[in-house]
Amino acid sequence: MPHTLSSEVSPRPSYSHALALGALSRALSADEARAVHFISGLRCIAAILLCLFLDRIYDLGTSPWVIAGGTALGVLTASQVAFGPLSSRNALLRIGIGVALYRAAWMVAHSLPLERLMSPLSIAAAELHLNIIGLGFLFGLTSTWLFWRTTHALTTEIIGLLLIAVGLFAAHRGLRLDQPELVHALAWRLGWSPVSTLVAVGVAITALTVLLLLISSSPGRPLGHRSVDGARVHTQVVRNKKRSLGGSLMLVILSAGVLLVGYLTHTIFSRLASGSVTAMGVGQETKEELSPLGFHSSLGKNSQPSALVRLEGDYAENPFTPMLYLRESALSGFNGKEMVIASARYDTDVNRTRPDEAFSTEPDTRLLSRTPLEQSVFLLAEHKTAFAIDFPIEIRQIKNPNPDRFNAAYKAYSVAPGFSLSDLSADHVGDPNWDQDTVAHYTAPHPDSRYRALALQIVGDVSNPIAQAFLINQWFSANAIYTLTPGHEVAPDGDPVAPFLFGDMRGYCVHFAHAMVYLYRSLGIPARIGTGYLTDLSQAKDGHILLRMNDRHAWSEVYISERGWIPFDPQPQQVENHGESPVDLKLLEELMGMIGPSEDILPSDVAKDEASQQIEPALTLPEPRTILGIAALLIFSFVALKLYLLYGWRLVPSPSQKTALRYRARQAVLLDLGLSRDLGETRAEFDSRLKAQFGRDLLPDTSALLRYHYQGTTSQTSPAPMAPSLFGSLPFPWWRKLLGILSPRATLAFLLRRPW
Amino acid sequence: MSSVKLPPSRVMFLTHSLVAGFLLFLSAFFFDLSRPVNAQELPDPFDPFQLPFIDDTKPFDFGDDTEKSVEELLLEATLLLDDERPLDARTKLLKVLQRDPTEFRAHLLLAGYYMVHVGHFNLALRYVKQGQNLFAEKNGPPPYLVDFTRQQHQRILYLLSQARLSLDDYAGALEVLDEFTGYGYVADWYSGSRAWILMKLGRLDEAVQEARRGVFTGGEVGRSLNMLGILLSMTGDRNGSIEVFRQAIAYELSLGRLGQPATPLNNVGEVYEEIFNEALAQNSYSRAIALPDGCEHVLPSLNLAKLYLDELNLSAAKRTMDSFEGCVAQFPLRNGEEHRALVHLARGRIAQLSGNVPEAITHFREALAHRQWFGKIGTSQDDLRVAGNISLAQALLRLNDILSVTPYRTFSERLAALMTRAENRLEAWWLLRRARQILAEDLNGMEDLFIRHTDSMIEYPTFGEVLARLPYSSLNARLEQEERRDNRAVAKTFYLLYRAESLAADGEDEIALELLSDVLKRARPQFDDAVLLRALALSLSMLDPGSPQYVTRANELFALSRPALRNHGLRLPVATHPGSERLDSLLEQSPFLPLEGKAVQYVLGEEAIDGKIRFTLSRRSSPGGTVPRPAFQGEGDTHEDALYSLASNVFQIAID
Repeated sequence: MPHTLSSEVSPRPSYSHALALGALSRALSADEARAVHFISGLRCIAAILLCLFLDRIYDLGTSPWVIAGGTALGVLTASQVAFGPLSSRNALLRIGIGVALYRAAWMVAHSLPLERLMSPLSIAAAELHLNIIGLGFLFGLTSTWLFWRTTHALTTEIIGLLLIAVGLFAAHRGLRLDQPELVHALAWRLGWSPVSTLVAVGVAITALTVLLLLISSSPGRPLGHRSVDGARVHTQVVRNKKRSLGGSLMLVILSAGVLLVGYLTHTIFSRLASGSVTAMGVGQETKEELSPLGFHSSLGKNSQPSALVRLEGDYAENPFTPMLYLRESALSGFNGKEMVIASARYDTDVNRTRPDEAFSTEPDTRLLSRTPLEQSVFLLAEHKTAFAIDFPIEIRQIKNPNPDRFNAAYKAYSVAPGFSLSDLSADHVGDPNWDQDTVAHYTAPHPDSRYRALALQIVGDVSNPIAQAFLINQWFSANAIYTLTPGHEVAPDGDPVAPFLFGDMRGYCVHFAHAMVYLYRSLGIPARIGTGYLTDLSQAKDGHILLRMNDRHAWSEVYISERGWIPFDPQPQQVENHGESPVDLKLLEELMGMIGPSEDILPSDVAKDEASQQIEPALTLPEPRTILGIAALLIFSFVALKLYLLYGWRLVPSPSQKTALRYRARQAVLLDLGLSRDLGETRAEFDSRLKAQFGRDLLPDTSALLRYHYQGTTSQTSPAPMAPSLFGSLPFPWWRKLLGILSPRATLAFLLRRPW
Repeated sequence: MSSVKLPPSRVMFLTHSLVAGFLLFLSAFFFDLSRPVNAQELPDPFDPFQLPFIDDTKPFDFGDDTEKSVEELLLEATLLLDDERPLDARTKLLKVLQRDPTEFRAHLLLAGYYMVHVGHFNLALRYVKQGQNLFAEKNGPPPYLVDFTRQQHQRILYLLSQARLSLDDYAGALEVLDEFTGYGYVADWYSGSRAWILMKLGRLDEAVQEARRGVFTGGEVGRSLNMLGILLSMTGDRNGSIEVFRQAIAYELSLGRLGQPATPLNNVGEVYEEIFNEALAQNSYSRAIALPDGCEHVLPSLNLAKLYLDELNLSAAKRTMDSFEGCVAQFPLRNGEEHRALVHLARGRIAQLSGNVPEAITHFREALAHRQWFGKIGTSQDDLRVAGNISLAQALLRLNDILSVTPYRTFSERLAALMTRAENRLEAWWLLRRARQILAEDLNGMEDLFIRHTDSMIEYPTFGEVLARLPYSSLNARLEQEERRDNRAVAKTFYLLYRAESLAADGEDEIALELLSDVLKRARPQFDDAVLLRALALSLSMLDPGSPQYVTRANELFALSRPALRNHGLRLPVATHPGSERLDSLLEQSPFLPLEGKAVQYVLGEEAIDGKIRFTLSRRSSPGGTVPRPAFQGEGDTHEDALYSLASNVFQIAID
């Protein structure tokens, strides 16, 4: 957000004050310095969060804390120098020189025969770490420099932040409630619904953007504005104008708008994806004459966990191995447009009960080769109907082991198919006990004659209905294309299957199931649609199956005498966008732990003393590598600061500043050697004392500095002649000078802005 | 190097099933005898009509076990485990614990179940620990004097050591084994387990001694021999290792149906591979796969596929993976995660070498998205991460290379391609950076640099592309270090190639080309075809397109692998017919390089048929000959479409 700069220029503080406060304070008033510190602190926190976020996504390989430290150092350095006299061009030049020196240092390091001292790859590995830390430092430095120096940097930062948000949420396209993965993991950890978490994160990012705007455009934010004053160039502080009432009101409205949009988004998304109503085009409608299936798109495709099923026994006889069908509902009615739920007179093998409702029926003893199978179902998302493996004869509610996590729990007793599909070839379709009405109900054809024509074309001269059913199934596998976004244009009363079957053959399970049922019925084969879950048992563990929303499925079923309703489900060879999505095994194990035996059978802390069970505490000592990295960074910073303190005066063009900084450099050397100005002692007195004590002038710049100070920076006084070197003239033995070089005293004084 | 040689998870699974089932049966039998029971309660195990779980009176038995005693349920569970019905057994055991939570035998049986059948080692450990606590409460602290109690205690220690071993707590596992011997216990499994743990702790000499002891004392001879073979291979005694594996194979084959010869066969194949005896390695892997216990193993299949890929025999590699997946499908209740990452890795490499780079990228992303379950195989997750990162990065770079020689119709297509290339380059840079970091820091100072390191899943012929980004001095020092201890002549070819790659990356083209000429001379036909491919592609990238040397090597590379030129952003020299400036200009952004001269072996022709453009690529009947033999063609509405279609047909191989 651009903001207006006033032409008001802050009165420059006196030079002695500037010397006392250091580079930052030299140009800023106390209030401004506080604002700079506050915003710099916030930027450091943002840098840390950004590094942690990036590490979570990309596995940076170096401790994110160390990289964050480098970035924060860059932020702080830029905040220090942005209000100094350095021009942007000079800053860029120095950064370039710094980078070149850094690269040169590595080239030198690589050319040294260090492999005798350490492993050949240690240097390369160290370079990789330092590179990324340096990258963080450069990022912090340049972005913060631009932030303080230009008004437009703010706009760029906000655009950057929004781009990150867009990138983060891009994975959410197509109402993928399990994406972005980071948000999904957060939702699971907090126990919130994915929709709420998504909206909360969206609102948080927007709020952060608004906060950034607020802080950065606040009247307290100073800007380093470099100007030319006569022959010299220096930096002035330009303040923002006070925010107008209208501006403040706009911000309030903006914040309220964010909350409102968040609320509306949450409401709309919750309705769209309420619980688990719709996913993969398969909803949970339970009313007769209505359909739970959607043709438009497989809205809501996601790997959000919806239920945990535990098989209580082995099911080696499963004819659909490695797949397993869990039926929730059956659609055998036809309303002229699509398949719908029929009246309770039909489909009596389907329980039609709520998950919290008990159900019991007599097993159909006419069905052959059925095997008893007990399952426990723990619902993780809202379900209107209890589902089970074909077909349940009893459903009994059991104790919910973790009401915070599971919506409901029940045990289902099924008599599941226990035969091979190849056994069906000698069977017949339909049930001889059905009355005419029932036969007519299950074979009611679609009025469009094209269905029968196509069916006849596919089956050719094959007359056995079961062989016909298999042929049609194979035809779909070979010719249809699976896609989540068929994008067919269908009139409100039009046949939604025709554009698929007689068009581009692109569709998903809902299209496949309808088309197959229509073709079967056109040949007189009793067929219906089953809906529920289709899962891959090869992803189960210990008989525990984690059902996800993208396991929701619709399939066609054919009634075979003495076998019951048997799924006929094609496996399309051409798949456009149905990526394999592996089950989260960690989550599965976590859930298995929740439904495991009670504490008295298996105490959770029974193996707490085992070495393999030691959970890393939240606060731990960093790894030695990290400690070494931090130590290296600190040493590097110390050396850099010391060099700046001692030789920084060479970098400034102005004679007055050069004199001042040179004086400071000599003072720093003396301070490191234990010679400091006493309280109340003037610089001239200090100089005299040293002269008297050592018999030589250890601070040759004192008089020039004082002249500049009392006569102004425009004084034509030439600077005092420079002694050959900082250390050469000191009357101390070499070892004491060495100790002085290693002493951090002056550097600390500089950092703490002690007066020189 | 090591681990891959131990029995893969499925073999371990079956071995442990049998051993555990047998031991559990014995244990339950002993437990049963140890308790004062009413003779009337005890069913006669030889009378099928007395067995309580057979009830023909009900149409469907949902296992209503309310009437059954704890002893009956335990016996049933033991029999069900033996009968490969683990879920039924688990349900029975949980029912036992609901009745009597202090029944430590059920805890121990469940521990065995979770260890052997499920691979949920944390849960197994908890059950063992609870069983151990309950056992101690009942019998007091060890040592025990009664034989039966001692046997039970041995069983607990065995389970505890196995659980700790499976959770990589090697020191803890060794501690348990020390405790085991401290009480004077003796067991067949002891030497094999101890040797394995010592190997994991890096105490190789002790491990060899322990494995030899296992062989001499006759405790689980097959396992001990296998272990010894691995250890000898690790200590560099490859001939000794092969000899021991031969004995292991013979021993396992002598066991008939109960034997597991696939494991030593796979292991000996890896040793043959290490000494560059590919023929024998292929033979070993093929035999392992053909055996009943080997068809479900991913490692022999993966190893064989890797060997085929080194020979650029893509269809054989694909058949190997197809056959593996077909075999695994017979075991539906197994967790597919166990092998999925490795299968994606192999399939991605096949797709990439066949010119279908986008498909390769999809496979590599899937490989990285899956967690490899290694069980006791010593390979670490880092090995897979490195291999996946490198393969994905290389595929992204290959895609960029392809995009650099793709004809575009519009500016927007070109812009989109530029953006894709920038994204790919950035991602590839990051992936390679991470791979180098893991190799250098987490994989023992790049232990994978030892060519055909058995733990590694990287592609050695293209590994130089990763190494080239290291400083030459560091790489050279590390290569010298490796060469000092590696006396295999064939391995030198690879080290030369890596040096050439690094020098080429540093702009030292002349020296790099010299080294590459050496590589081309040294590379063995068939077995080193992938090395030849990489060396030719690298040298072509440094040669002046249009120079006679470029034409010769491009023809060689095209003959070796059709997709390779385009995959590396290189162009195939062609003579155009009819030649025109317009066509030459059109070919500028294509994988075809219009050239004249006798050395040019291919002719690119253009014709218009029914309003469509058709390009054909033919091979000259003889060098400099004029009669072309038609080979490929591509059609399209525009010249660019037709050219794109031709390029796809020429530089992509459909593998059936």
